[in-house]
Amino acid sequence: MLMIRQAWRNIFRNIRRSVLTCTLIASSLVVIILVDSIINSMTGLMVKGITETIEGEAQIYHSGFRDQYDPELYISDPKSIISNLDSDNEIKSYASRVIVPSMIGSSYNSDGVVLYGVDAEKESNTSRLQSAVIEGDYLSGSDKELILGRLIAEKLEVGIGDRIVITSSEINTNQMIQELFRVSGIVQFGPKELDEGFAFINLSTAQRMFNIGEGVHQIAIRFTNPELANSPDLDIYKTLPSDTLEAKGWLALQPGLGAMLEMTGLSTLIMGAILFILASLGVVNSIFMSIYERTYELAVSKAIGTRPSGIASLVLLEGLFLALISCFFGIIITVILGIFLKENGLSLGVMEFSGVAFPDNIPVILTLDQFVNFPFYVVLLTLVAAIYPAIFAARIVPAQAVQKAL
Amino acid sequence: MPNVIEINNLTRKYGKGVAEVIAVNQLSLNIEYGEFTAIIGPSGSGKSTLLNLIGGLDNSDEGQIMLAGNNLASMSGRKMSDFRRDHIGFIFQAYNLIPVLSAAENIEYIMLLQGISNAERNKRVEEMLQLVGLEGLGNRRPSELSGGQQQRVAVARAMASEPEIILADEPTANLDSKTGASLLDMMKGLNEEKGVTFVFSTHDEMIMKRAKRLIHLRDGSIERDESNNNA
Amino acid sequence: MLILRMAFRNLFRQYRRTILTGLSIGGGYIVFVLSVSLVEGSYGNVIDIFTKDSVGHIQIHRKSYREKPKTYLTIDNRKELEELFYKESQIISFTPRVLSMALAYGKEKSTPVKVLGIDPNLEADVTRIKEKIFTGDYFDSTPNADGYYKAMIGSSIAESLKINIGDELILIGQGAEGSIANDIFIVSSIVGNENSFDKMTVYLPLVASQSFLSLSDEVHQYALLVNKPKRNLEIAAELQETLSNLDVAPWQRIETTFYQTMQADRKGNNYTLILIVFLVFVGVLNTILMSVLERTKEFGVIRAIGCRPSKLILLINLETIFLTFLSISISLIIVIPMIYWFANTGLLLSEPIDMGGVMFQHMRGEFSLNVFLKPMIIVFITSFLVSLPPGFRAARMTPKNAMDFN
Repeated sequence: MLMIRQAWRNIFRNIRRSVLTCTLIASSLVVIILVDSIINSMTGLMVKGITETIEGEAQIYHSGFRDQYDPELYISDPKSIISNLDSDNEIKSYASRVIVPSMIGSSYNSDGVVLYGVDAEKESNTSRLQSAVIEGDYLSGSDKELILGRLIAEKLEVGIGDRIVITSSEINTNQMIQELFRVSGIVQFGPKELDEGFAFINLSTAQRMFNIGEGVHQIAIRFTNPELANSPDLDIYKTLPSDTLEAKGWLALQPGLGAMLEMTGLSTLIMGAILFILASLGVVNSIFMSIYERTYELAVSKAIGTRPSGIASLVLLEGLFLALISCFFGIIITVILGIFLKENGLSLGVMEFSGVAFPDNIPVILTLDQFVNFPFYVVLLTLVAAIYPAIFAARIVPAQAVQKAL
Repeated sequence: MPNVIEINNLTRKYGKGVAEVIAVNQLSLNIEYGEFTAIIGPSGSGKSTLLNLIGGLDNSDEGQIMLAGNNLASMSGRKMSDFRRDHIGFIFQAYNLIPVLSAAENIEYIMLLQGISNAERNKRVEEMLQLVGLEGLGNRRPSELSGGQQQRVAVARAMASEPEIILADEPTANLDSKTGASLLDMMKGLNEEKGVTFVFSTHDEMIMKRAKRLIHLRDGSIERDESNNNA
Repeated sequence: MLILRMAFRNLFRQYRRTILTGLSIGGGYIVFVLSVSLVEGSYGNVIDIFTKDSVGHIQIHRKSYREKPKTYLTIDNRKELEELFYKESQIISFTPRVLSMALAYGKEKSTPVKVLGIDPNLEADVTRIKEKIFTGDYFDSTPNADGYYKAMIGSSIAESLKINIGDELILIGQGAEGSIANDIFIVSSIVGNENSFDKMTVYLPLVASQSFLSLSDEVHQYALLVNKPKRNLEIAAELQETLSNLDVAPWQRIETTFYQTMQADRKGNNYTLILIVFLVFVGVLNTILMSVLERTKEFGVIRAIGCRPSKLILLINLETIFLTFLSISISLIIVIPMIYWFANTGLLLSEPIDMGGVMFQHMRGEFSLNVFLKPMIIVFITSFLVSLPPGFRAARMTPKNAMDFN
């Protein structure tokens, strides 16, 4: 008990030094929590941007379809899959799609797009299509409707109600087909790639146009619990009615995204390591200085019979207190900054990674486990840093230390 | 001889309220050029405070100090520094040499502050070392010198700037009597040879015997001021 | 200079503290250099790849073509323009291009493609197209015996249309006056792989593309390389002044999303660096303060014998500057080989990362004077600033208080 009191008071003997040391430790804690939050929130945005915009959390498709988007590789009989999906509790929603690269033309211009035939109702529960409509109306199911990305609409110089010609070829016969539509809505997702390269019509229209009966190219899926999307144990990944079909979660569908997540994880780790090294150098230094100042005192206490282990424990205790005080203030500062950043976001400028556009202000969301895990590591690492000076202090030879000059 | 130090009604207090201590109390004193004076008295009588005030190391609460015709109170920090550099030499009880500099460099340091040329500095360093009897030890660091030798370096340092006044706060207190005596003889020689004014604070009998004037201090005031004709 | 010697010797009075402080300064410097080098190098590498792969450093179009690319919006004063390019010493090479969209038919399938008409000789001076030929030969502008021109196709076109070298390729598009454009070409080579930006591009000889789109000797675009890529923006602005009736755009305005993302990423990086410098110097401030505090008595003596306060501040400044100098010198020995390795070998990511539409796969370092100098200057300035407060503290005390200090 006495030793604890002694260690505690020692910290306040040189307030300036303790304040600076605590500033160092506390800043490291604040920085690492914030960096972790920012990276979490960016990866969260990225994953959500991909899974919630169009792609879904998982997809079922004909093997090989995703390689070239070859329209011939379609699921000709999706009924049994759909009934499986309907009865699966883990699945929140799904949307079947026909996907055919086509030419799109107005009276002014023409371009290539990926034409999506979608089920209006199911799509609205699965992707952001409905909420991305910025002008006109969402699909209602009638035959001549077409929704265009904002940038492609600008390029074609068309507005709501204007005529659009889709030129493509029938999937099984490869005969050229042309069909007239009218723009019923314009959507804006954000990323350029989506807004300039996509057009949407009703699923039934697409199935009729391309003459594929009930066939679809892709079923995008959202889960009740999105965390499960990449677990290989899910029923939908295991029980596919045919060998020619594939079902994959978003991580397997987007290897680039996986690499990116890995890299950001690694950079948090590197950042943490750098911060730790810098902070520990500061801690070691500061504890050494306090030992030097007290060489005489420590020597005397050793001379009157304190064991080396006792002195080492005293130094370690001081390190512990420094860490605890730092964590206390670090947490308070982080919470204050967190509240500020939650409201205002962190402004870095416009960014786009893996086809996901980030808002100018990235929201920074703090979670409870960050306030438990990181302070724990900080305390632990500070104690590790204090070991060297503690051993040094324990080895002070009383006779030598008592002689001290200017 | 004219006065080099004129002190009028000098007062210095420390602490506040019940803890207030009057270290120097309405003290007036004149010291002439070339004196070899000891300020003596029991500990707590105000010797060190008086010396610090004379040297401009501490600020007074009341009264006036004139050094070689200059009023200390009217000087700014920078001017005070320069004044100390050019007019006052200090010798401390604990020698207080700069540990990272050699004996010669410690002596040279103050001349460097004065902006004396390189050749002149080197010449004077040698002179000073000789004067204090440390020829050939100029390259040693303070930690490689004995206490007496260190204090001799300190005397040389104080003399190097050719000041009018040398203030010595208990210069022999850390030395054995034999070393102290030889140091004092050396200082006395310098006083007579070069005419530098020496003011000591001390309770060392040996200094009292050699000082030409003894100022007895008690509770911050002069109790007795006597000439020592035997010195 | 005695004061220099004093400052230098003071560093070795507490060599353990000096080493620890030096380690954090040196470590901070190394992190700083690495991060500057990697950011500049990796982006430099990516920029070099895409500017020399297709974009060029500067592009010139008819006004409003980039917003609404219409076939009839062409550059028709070619001769005049090309003379200017030859005369302008800052331009190393240029290439004219015709751009369009078309539907491509192979034996039985069709797909929308990008059509790029190029001058086979000039294009090879600007881009790496010749090196990118996967199979077959680089084409020329002469038609074969039947009067058919040659075409080079992206790898994905070859795969999805299932056509190979020597096969016929039919393109159907829209001519300049809105007429239907329709021509047959012979595939002479396949370009790039499935990751190339031009996997869905058909390259035609310039003359062939002009006749396909019913254009006379007009083009849509000039891509230029300049001698000083870093002065890209200025050169583009100068050119724009001369060519006031055309639209001169540096790559920063062509690849806007990538450019913004890069800028935002750099901004984020700068925040991180500021934090690291801050943490390093909280630690350094701590040690300098301690070393000043410890020597308060000594400073009192120095002041007592007549040293001006400003000299004392200088002494403390000098000590810190020396320490910084030593730390940086030693760090340079470590960091120069590291940067050299990153600049010459670099790190290959397992999967490319899509950054605003530009693929990013290589972590490269930049090896230049700036990479070492800029962080050095910042570290020196910071260490100088950090040594001021302790210096002032030492200079402010009255000599008596300083000498009494314990």
